[in-house]
Formats: sequence, C-alpha cells, structure tokens
Amino acid sequence: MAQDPKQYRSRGYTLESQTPLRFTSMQEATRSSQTLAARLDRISDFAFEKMTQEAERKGKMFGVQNRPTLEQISIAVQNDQDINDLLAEPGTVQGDAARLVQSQMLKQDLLNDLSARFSDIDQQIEAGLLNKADVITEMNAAIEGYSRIIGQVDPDQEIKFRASASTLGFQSVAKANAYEIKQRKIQHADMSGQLLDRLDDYVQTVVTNDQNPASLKATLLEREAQAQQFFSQDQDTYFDNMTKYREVEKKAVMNYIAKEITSKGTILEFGRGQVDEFLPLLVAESLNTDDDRKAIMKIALDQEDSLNKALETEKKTKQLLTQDFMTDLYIQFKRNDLTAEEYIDNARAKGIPLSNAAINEVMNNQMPSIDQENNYGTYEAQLYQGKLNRTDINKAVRAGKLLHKQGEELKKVHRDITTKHSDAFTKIKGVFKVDSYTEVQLDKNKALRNVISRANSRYITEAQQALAEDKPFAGIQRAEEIAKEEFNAYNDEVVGGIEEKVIEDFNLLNMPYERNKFLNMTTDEIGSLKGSDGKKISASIANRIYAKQKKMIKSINTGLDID
Amino acid sequence: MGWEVALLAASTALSVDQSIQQAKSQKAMYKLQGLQAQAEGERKALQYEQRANDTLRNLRRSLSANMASRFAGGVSGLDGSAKLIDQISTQEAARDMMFDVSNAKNAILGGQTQADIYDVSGSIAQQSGLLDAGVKLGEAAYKYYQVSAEPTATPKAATPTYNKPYPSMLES
Repeated sequence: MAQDPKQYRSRGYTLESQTPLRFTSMQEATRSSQTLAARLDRISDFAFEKMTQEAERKGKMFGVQNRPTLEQISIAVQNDQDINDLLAEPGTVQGDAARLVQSQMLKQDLLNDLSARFSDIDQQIEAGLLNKADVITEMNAAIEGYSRIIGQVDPDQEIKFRASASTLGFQSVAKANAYEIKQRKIQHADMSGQLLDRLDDYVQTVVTNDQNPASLKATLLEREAQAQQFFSQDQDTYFDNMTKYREVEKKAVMNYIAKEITSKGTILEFGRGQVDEFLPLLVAESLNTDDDRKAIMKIALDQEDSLNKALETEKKTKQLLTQDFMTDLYIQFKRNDLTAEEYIDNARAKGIPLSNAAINEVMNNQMPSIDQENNYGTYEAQLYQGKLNRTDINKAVRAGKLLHKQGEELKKVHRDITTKHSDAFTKIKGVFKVDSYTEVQLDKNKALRNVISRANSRYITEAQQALAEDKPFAGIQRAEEIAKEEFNAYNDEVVGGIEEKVIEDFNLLNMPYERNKFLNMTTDEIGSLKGSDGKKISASIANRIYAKQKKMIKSINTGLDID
Repeated sequence: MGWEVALLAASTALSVDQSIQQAKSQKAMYKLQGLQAQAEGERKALQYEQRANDTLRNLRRSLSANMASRFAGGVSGLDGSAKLIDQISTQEAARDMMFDVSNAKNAILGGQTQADIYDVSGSIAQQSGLLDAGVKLGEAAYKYYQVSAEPTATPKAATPTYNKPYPSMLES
C-alpha cells in the first residue's frame, strides 16, 4: 500500500511581540530635572530670603525716618482724620516692616508721654492736688485714649501698650495711696499732739471744778475713752499715744497739786500727809501713796527753786542793766554831755536812788580827799588783780572811802575789764610766742590756732560770767593764766607725741631716756650713740633722732608745731 | 572663621565629587544595560534564525520523502497531485520561515533601540550629575557669601524726614 504523502504543516509562527522598551532616558530626564528644580528652588529661596531681609531693612529704615510725631497724631485725631494715613501702607514686605517699626515707636512715644503725664500726676499727688480717685480717673482716661490711638494702628502694640501703661499707672495709684495714708498719719499725729498738748489745761480745769472723786474719775475716764478711740485710728502710734496720754494726765494732776501747794506754801504739810484738800484728786488718779506724795513734793520744790532762780536772775539782770545805765550816764556826765542836774534827774527817772551825799557831791563838784585818792589807786589795782567787784566798790562809796564819782569811775574800769578783750587776747598770743612774724604762719597751723581760739573763748566766757555775777575779775592776769594752761596742755600733746617716738628709738638702742638730758645733747653726742650690738648708730638714724630733738625744742620754745 | 571655612570647602568639594562620581557610575550602568539589551536582542534573533532553519530542514525532509516515495511507486514525483502537495508544503514552510526572519530582525532592532535609549539615559544622568555638582558649588558659594560678607560702607546717619508720602518714597 502506497504511503500517504507527507505534507509540511505550518507551525503557526507569527510575528512575536518584542520585549517592551524601557524609556529610562525619559525617567532619567525627569528625575534630573526634578533634582535640579529642587536645588534651584533652594537657591531661589535663599535669594528671596535675602531680598525679603533687604526689603524689611529698608522698610524699617523708612519707618524710623518717617515716624509720625505725637503732635501729628494729636492733630489728626482732633481733625477726625484716619491716623493710618500717617503710617506706612501695609501689604508689602517693606510696608509691613515700616508699619511695624512705626507702631512700635509710636507705642514707645505714647508710653513716654504717658510716663511724663504720670510724673505730673505724681507731683500733683505730692502737692496734695489730687486724691486717689482723681488719679484713677486721670489714669484710666489717659490709658484708654492712648490705647485707642495705638489700637487703630496695631492691635498687638495696643496689648503691649496697655500692659506697660497699667504698670505705670499702678505705680502712680500706689503713690497716691501711700500719700493719702501718709497724710492721714501726719494729720492724725498732729491732732494727737494737739490733744496731748491741751490735756494739761483740760485736766487743770477739770480738777479745779470737780472735787468729787467719783465724778472726777468718771470725767477723766470718759475723756480717756475718747482719746483711746481717737488714737486707735492709727495702730502704729496707738500704744505710744496712750502711754503718753496717761503720763501727761498723771503729770498734769501732779503739777496742779504741786503748783497749789507751792503757791499756798504748804509743801511741808503736804509732805507730812495733810492732803485733805487734794484727797479727791489723789484718789481719782490713784496717787495717794507715800512715793506719789514725795514725787509731788519734789515737783513743788523744783517749781519753787525754779521760781527763786528766775527771780534771782531777774534781779541780777535788772541790777546789771541799772549798773550799765549808771555807768553810761556817768560817762556822759564826765564828758560834760550832761549837767549835774540832768545826771541826777536821769538816775531818778530810772528809779535809781542816789544818796544825799552823792547828790551833794555831784552838785558841788566835790573833789576827793587824799585818802580817797589813795583808796582809788588801791581799788583800781585790786580791780585789775581780780580782787574787787562792784559790790565792794559800792560798799567803799557808802563808807566814804570813795566819792560817788570815783565809784562810778571804778565800775567803768570793771566793765571795761570784763567787756574789752583786745589786751587780753594780745597777752594770750604772747604766751604762745606768736609775734607779728609767726602770726602769718598761724593760719597754716590749725592746731595752734585752735588752742589760741580756745584760750580766747575761755577768757570771754569767764569775763562775761564775772560781769553778770558781779565777780572780781583780773582781766590780763586771768588771760595769762588761761593761756598758760592751754599752752601747757598743747605742748604736752605736741611734745608728748614727738617724745613718744624718741623714747621708742631709745628703747631700741637700749638707752635710758631723760627729757632734759636728751634736749641738751649735742650733734656729736647723738652721732656717737651706740646700738644694742655695741656699734655706733648709722648716720641716717642719728639724723632722724637729731631732727626729733630739734622739733621738740622748737615746740617747747614756741608752741608751734613745725611739721 | 578659619576651620569653619576649611570644613565648608572640604565638605562641598566632597559633595561635588560625589555628584560627579555618581553621574559617571550612572552612565556606566546605563552603558552596561544597553549592551545587555543589545545582546538580548541578538540572542533572540539567533533563536528565530535557528527555528527558521528548522522549518527549512523540515520542509526539505518532507519534499524528499514524498519524491522518493512516489518514484518508488512508479508515479512521477514532480507532477500532478504530488506537485500540488509539495507546493502547499513549501508555501506553509515559507510563511513560517519568513515570520521567524522578521522576528529575528525585530529582536535585533528592539535590542539596539533599548541600547540606544540606555545610552541617552547615561548621557542625561552624567549631565544631571555635573549640573548638580555645579549647583552645589553655587549654593556653597552663596552660603559662604552670606556668612562672610562684611558691610562695604558705613550706613549714613538717618535724618528723619517725617511723613513722606507712602509708598512712592519707599523705592529709594
């Protein structure tokens, strides 16, 4: 059997699809451009940031250079204009920056102005022109007004302004508060003082008019309660004031009783316990103990003593004035400015009695006897020696040892001695060896000048005391004594200071010190002094000791500290 | 500003170098990928060529077998139905072979095209890397300028002129 022919059968091949292309170039290009764009963006950002900063700087500069003044703001507000027209326009970097600076500066200007206003307010508070309520009203009005202005410009600045302004305002209110408290305290203290001042009079009146212990005690207690209520308004001074009140009240009662027993001359009786008259008062004030009575007696005795002293002083003053008048009158008479009649009449007019002998003597121009002349010389010498006073002179006149005119002449000498001090001062300077040359140096020597001033001052005081108390006073002689006392004290101080250092030197040299021996040492002797080691002291130490010696000698001789 | 400048310069230089090296690596990688794509295309084309050869071999085998069989049976192997069958077989085989030839060509073309794309990508990556390095340099220079630049002139003292009209005066 024949085989079937073999036919090639198609395998069905077709065009096969190819592996899809990967467009990496596109991806790469995209990635590259994205990276580049990002980097360029960053550079742009840098540049933009830089430009923004520059724009802000310019804006701030503009803001600073174009800050609206408070005056312009004030005019704008008065004319009902928008104050934003005075500031930079917002919406741009420069504009915003300029506006921010302007608003900040405006806020500061307003704060400064407000501070100045508050300062005025503070002054008005100090002057008492404003009270706390006024201050709060003024402060609120100012803060509110200013806040509205800044609020129109920048709300943020308004918040800051209000915070700062409130702090400023609070300080002023606190000051007003403190001032009011202080004023109240001052007023209260003043009134308390017045109350205490008047208490003495009040107590005197009460105790004079009310002798019943019960009602007197009630009256005083009522008054004390009133005072207590008043003093309690200031707690700081309450206890002090109440203590003072009780002391003043007690003292007023004691003074009253003391005054009464002094004037009635019953101090001793009171001391012995005869207190019936004052019993109500003593009971009312719980003063009826022995100690209280003794205290009242002491006050009474002091009052009497003071009274006697005052009377004595008055008498002495009167005598002094009378004596002064007579001396002046006598000088006029002696100069023939007054006739004998006028002299006598003037004395009588002043209430100064002249004896008949004196009148006759003056009228007849009587001359002194030989004894009287001699007596005059003696008394004058005694006056200068400080052995005679005016009373002694008066006694001598009354005894006929001196004429009236001689007596007045001697009293004039006494007055001159005690009132004219130039001779005494010259004497004092002489004691201090201050001559016309050293007087020039005196201004430079404060220590010595002070010593001389002290001596002069002592002299004047003693002279015035002698004149006032009619004591004998030996003018020049006393001046010399005072000067010597001061001189010695001064020298002891100055020389002593130098001497202390010399003694230190001698102690170091193991040498005994003796002032006179040291002052008489020659230069060679000082140079040959030996130290504790047996060797001669150096030239510089010798010179130092020699200089101290000279200084001591100079100080002792002249009283001048020649530093 | 001593060590800070040195640090800035060193880090910038390293970063720039890094960008350049990265660009080179990227380009080399794309080059390699291009060669791979080309080789893949050629490998596929070879497969198609081998299959076309197989088709031709199969056709010859069919034709030879048919001719031998016919002549052995006393029938002319070149005429009549035998010829018709051979013609049909040839046509079938020719179509298969032609498809494979086209497939081989397409594979080579595709591989080459992909290789070209990788080549372009490599160039772009290299350019991008260089550009990146340049931008980095510029960025560093700008930053350095910002921190190191000093004022060149003393600012003039401002003289306040209050309330200039705004904003025209801003641009001064």
